[in-house]
Amino acid sequence: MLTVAAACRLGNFTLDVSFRSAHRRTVLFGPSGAGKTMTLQCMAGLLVPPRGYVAIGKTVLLDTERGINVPPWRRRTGAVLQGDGLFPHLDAAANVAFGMRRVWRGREPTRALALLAAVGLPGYGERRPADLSAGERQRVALARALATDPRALLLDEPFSAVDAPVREQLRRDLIALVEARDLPAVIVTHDFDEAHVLGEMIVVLVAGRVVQSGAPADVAARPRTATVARLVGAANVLSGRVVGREDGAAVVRAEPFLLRLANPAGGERVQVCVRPEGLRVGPAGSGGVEARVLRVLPRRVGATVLLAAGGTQLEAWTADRPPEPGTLVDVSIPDGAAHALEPEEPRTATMQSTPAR
Amino acid sequence: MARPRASDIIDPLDRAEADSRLAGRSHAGAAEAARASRRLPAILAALGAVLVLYLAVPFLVGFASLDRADTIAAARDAINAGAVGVSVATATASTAIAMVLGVPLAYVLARGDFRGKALVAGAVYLPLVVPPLAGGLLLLTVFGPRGVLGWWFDARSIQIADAWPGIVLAQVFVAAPFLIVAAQVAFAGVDPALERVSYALGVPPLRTFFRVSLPLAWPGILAGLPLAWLRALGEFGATVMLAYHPYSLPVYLFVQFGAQGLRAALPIAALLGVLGIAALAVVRAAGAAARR
Repeated sequence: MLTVAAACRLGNFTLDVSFRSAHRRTVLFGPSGAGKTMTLQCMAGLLVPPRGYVAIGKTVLLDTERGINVPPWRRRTGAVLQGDGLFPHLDAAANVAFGMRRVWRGREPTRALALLAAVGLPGYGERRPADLSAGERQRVALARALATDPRALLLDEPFSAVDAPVREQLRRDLIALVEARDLPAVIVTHDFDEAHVLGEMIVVLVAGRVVQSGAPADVAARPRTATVARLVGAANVLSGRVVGREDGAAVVRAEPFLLRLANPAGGERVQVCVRPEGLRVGPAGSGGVEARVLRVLPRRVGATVLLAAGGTQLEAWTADRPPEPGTLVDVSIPDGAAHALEPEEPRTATMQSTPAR
Repeated sequence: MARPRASDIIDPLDRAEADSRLAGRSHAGAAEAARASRRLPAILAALGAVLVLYLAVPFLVGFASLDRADTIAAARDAINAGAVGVSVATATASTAIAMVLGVPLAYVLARGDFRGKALVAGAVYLPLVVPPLAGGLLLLTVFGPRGVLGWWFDARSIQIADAWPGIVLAQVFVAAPFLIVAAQVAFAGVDPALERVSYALGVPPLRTFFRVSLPLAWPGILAGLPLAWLRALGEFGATVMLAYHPYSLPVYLFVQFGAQGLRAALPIAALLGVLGIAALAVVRAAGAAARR
């Protein structure tokens, strides 16, 4: 169990996050400047928020109310900070041995080589960081964090400097490592694909706040606000109006669709979100709203189809053979494919307009 | 002028090479372009040459006018008078003191964030602000027999002025800023993120200093060492005020010049030059060894 709460101000940026995760792999996801790195630094003790609480399992590392603040060098949070941070004056084995605890005295070199082998770098002990590829450097950094017998692993954009095929391999290896060692891991990323692959739980940060958290598939399927929808690739956000209610559901007019939504939130005006793969595109006359195909973007799997339905642009995804650009198609939204978004956190707006409290 | 100027020949070639490079064809083209871009404006080279000549000529003329037998005799005298030993020993001691105290100060200045940091940083430059002679005068007010600290030593018959400690104090005063500034620049060049990584790996700040910051800044500090050592070795102004005796080489040089003139003093200057070059060579070798 991982519990994190931190509130602090840095310049005109305000961080005010709190989350709890019982999962082994927790991903802090959000756009750059959302406060992900700051949150991780609060966990590692490199940043001390005026108000905060950090606990890993039963160990409390920070509790400002009780005056507990374990310094970073006693937290054993296994941090892999941004840009690998290998010591350029030490070879790979010495980097790995750097933070080993006293109990390993005398056995450091053997253990360093064993850990290098464990992260897929057998025989790399005498290599200097400058002679390693980006992927190899990340592996050394990971081995170095593991060497400290950490209570957890904190990884800040661990694979952002690595080429795509290597990145995929590194992700799998990371998952295998934390599973094998039963280590809780917190991974910071701005890449939703990565968040999806690595996270059992995703905490979405926007402008210094947690706007949503949950399983990756749930966040992807039901983003809570328009900002999250955009971040997770739920491209269609339509403005709508509640035109009627029946048995707890609302009938919403969101041009050009008329939808039944199970979760009508408050007022008359709502924003409706539909993922590209939630739109059903069929040949003209197959039922639905008439739309013109503007453009077709082939993907590795299927294709993205950009549509104009009345005055509304839509993004659809199809696994089948996509329609020709310029043709007319029918587009519809099956029940359950759309959900109403909540308004953006109103506090975010007020914080920005009043910098000092 | 019958001969075409170099630029006339190269320019059309460059254009052809540039074209071929745009077409993505030739490696030779890239090499040619790199060579062309290295052409220096003649006026800058000429101005530089004047200064280099001015700096080097006194050495050439001075050393050329040395008489071999005279030089050996003078060197023997200087050694016998103890001046060489005093100078080498005190310069080494001063540099060591400046390093032990100056490296921590440099780290604090490079990394610290505290009230009055600008004042501390400014104080480092104070010895450079006053001429060494004036610096020696100021040191006398502190370490002279009736100085604010000197009387305490004087009362216990510990000699500072006109003794080895006086020479070392004078040298540290004038030489330390060179080392501090070099070390400060070196520490500023160490990525602070590496220190944070070290903390996060369980290594507390002081051990992080010795295991990360100092080794990474070491080449830069090493570059500052000969500057400080040479400044100490050549120190005259402050030394002559605080410790006329025992003779250090520069004071001995001054005394010999006053008593016997240029011919007697010149070999001592040569001796100082040789010591300086030797010091630079040692540090170079050490630097190369550190880089491996």
